[in-house]
Amino acid sequence: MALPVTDALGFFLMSFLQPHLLLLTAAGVFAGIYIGAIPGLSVTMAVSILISFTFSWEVNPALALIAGIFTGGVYGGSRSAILLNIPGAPAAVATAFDGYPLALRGEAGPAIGLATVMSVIGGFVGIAALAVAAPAISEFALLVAPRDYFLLAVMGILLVGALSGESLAKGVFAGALGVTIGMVGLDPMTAEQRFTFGTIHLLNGIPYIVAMIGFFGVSEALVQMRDMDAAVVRQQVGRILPSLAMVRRYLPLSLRSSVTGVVIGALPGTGGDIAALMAYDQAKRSVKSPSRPFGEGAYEGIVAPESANNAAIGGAYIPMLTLGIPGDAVTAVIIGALYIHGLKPGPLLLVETPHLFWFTVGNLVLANLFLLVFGLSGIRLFAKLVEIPKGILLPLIVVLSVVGTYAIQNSVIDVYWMVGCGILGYFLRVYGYQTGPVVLGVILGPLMDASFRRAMISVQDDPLALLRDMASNPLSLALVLSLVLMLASQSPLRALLRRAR
Amino acid sequence: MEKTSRPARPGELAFGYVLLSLSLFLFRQAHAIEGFASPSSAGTFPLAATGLMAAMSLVAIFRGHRAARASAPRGGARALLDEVAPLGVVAFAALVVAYALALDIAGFHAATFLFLAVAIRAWHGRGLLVAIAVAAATLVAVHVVFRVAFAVVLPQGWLFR
Repeated sequence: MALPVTDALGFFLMSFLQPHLLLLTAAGVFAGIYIGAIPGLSVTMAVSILISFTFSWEVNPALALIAGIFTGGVYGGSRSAILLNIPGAPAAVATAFDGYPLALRGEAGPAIGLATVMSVIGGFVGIAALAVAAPAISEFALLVAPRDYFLLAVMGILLVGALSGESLAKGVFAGALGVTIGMVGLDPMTAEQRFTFGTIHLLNGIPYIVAMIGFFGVSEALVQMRDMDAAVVRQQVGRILPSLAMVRRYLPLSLRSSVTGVVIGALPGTGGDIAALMAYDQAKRSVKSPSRPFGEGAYEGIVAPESANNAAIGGAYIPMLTLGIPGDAVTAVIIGALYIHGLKPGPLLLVETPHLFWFTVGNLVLANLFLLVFGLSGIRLFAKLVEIPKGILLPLIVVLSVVGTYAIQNSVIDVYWMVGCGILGYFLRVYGYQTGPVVLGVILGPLMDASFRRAMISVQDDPLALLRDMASNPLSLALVLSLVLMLASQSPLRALLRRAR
Repeated sequence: MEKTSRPARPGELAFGYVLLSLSLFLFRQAHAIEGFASPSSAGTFPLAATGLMAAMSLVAIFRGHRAARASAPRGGARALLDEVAPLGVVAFAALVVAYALALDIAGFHAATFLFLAVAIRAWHGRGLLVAIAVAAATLVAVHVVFRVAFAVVLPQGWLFR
């Protein structure tokens, strides 16, 4: 990054000063918010589809559009989580826990306003971390061994399992079901067939977006169909702008959650989804007197995940730009785009093209400024979505789910899987199993499998040696301890101990 | 987070046994991959995941029995229809399945138009003409946004090719 300060500043301000870059960033944020908000259309899908348009462009406009969509999309998921109880993206799963109860109380406006401001604050913390601490954090990421990836993924799934649903057992079942779905297809390491039942249609596995759209989109439509007679909640979205006092009150929590977001985002493979859940859990444990009990419409329950998931964007860029390792699914797609533009993401990227780094940092700042503008202004229009009669909205959700699923790899078979997941998801939800852990299991299952096996291979398949390694490495030990603590706090053991006292 | 137990829903135990059977079937499939070859083999993780599924569904069944003893759920097909699978949901699910199957035959546009028209007529209940108009308008909007603006490929079907 040996670039004179004036040059760095020039590249930083590039997207502010060049009208076409400014416009593309704005368009990206705007489109991202609405794509992220539409249930079933994920920001990963939007970025992958839009990247195909940008292949013939120059690299800066392409990066500007992608950064805009990424920033807008991660935030946009919160709107449908708050207004419809359908997280637009996995990163918004935690936002729905308290966001929807708030909407039911008629406080959707302040909830969305607060989510916007906190997202922007989180976004700035993420960018600051990217700009200032990139080298330090990437060194930390270098220390993460396969066994730690495995532990992190287990933690992610357990967190969702424990956070939602009726019992830990049902949450763990849902997570394990998701992991099993994620295993379908050819084993990436040995090319052995797993759960393919002899059909070629399953050799490539079931894409996680297919499962996600089914479990979140179609199953939600079916659940809502069950409650068709329930009165439509008219959303009171009069006051959107949160008061300065409110922002000041939640600022400390927002900053704490943002730091969590940056760290989780910077860890390869884990992105805004885990960051948001971790931050939510942290807030639940650390905030002594929330505005309301968590799960019943606590503002803290929105502040924590929304700050963390947008902070994770800056975090996810760190390993991508410094090591060439994607921080999450979207940055994996961006890496593909960088290769197509003739760049080599990795340690050499910063040495050979330092201007790209400063351009990206500046562009992300611009995207967050646009997020503030669009996030606080388009809510009335957006809230109309919830006032569409269910008889029209639910069939429309199904149609959008079909379009989104088919767009992934132009396969009708995927649509069948999506519908199957939707119907299974309906019954799971009716009987108290949450679908969040299933989807997270599908996403993290392959990562867990690969990292567990790499860890095992590194100790010549000796489980005892793996345990010794875990006990002697500070990072692994910390992860194991937090995992044990988490399990102990969720198990009947805690209740027994309390009773004994 | 052990929540206070709620009364069992109709069919909950039966569903628990369905999940247990599914888990055991998948466990057998996982075992068929490589058996218990080595901790780093392709079959280890599937075995662990499906084994965990079976164990957890056993826990859920055990709890279901306990809940059923505490307060017997309403039995019979009537309760199942009321609380778990009301006719409206079954009909909508059937329509969604038919729509998915029709995509490959009639293509996206025809199948979507029919699906929307039927669903809106049935659940919005404002007359056939309104349903057709709304379905057509929605289809045009979806086409413009996804086919034209985002250049998403949509299923063609073989009927009108």
